[in-house]
Amino acid sequence: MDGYAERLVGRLVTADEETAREFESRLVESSTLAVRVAYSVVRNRSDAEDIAQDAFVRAHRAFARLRERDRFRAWLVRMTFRIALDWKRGHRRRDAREDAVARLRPPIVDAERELIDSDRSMRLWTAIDALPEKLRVVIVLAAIEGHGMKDVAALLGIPEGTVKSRLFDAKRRLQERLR
Amino acid sequence: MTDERDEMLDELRAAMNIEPSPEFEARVRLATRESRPRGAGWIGHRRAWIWGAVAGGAVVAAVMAVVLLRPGSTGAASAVATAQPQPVATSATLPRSMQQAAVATRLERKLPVVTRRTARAASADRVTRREPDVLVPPDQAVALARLLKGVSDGRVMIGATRSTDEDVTIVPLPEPAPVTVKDVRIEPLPVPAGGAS
Repeated sequence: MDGYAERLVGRLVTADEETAREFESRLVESSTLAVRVAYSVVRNRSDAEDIAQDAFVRAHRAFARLRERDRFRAWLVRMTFRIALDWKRGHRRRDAREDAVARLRPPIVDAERELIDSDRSMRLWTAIDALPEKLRVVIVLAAIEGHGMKDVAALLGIPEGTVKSRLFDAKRRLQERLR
Repeated sequence: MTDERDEMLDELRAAMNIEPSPEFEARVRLATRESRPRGAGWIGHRRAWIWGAVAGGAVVAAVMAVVLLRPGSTGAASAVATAQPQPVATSATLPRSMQQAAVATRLERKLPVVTRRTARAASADRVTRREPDVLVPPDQAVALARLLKGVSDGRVMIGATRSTDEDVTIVPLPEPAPVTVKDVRIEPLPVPAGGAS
């Protein structure tokens, strides 16, 4: 009986260790992707990391069905994007209130903020924000280093041809807006 | 035009070229340490929840089975209540004295006392105090037993003692007396002198 219990406990520990190891490898290979996806929406590194962390925690809870690498990354991208959009919707209302108060205070000089607020960059992000969600996620994923059409199609679970047409449409709209 | 678009994509790529901070992964590890993955090992949260639900369901099913299938339950009681006790011996097979004694025994039985007990307890009572199939006074039980033994041995022929239809005298029932109902007359209420207010 003791031997059986020991074997059982040993199996459980091994399973837990294996799960932890797999999750660790997913975390290492996908952390940049998640942070960049979140950053494309919130445009703030700290907030992007908080959002990506939230997505990883949720992925960890559902890891039993997300063990495959491709499935994990696709789920993570969609979840991060979704959380980031929700976060932004919530903060947009709060920012509007804070802006009214900030007008009364002297401006704070922030190097990162200054860089983002450069005219061209700001116009680009404004144009991206104005895109429909399905076009926006395609162009963001395409802009992330190393992602070809095939990768984007795999991440979003849609055909490659759909990615091509959406990317074309997104670029055209951005160009029109930036002209 | 294509170059312009590619430039735009390059610009976006450059804008998004950020790396997570060195402590990001450590933060995620810390955050996930407390949240155990579901289904990992035996006692994942979801599985534990499912097992709990299954165990709860089994307990409820067992309790329901015990309640419904025990002798005093409503289903069993209704079957017993609808089946009235049928005497084995008919009026033709028993002597008149035995019939009278049986009737007397029935009348002497106490009527059920109406109490505030629940219906389930009452039905259980009906089952436990089941009426005997044949009501025979104790002093004639021995004689009846001998008669039944004789019938089973073939020494006594019950058919020989059975009366035929010709022996029965049919007495006509008396005509019902006519019922007369007197007319009901309703007198008007006296009105007070001052009239209705």
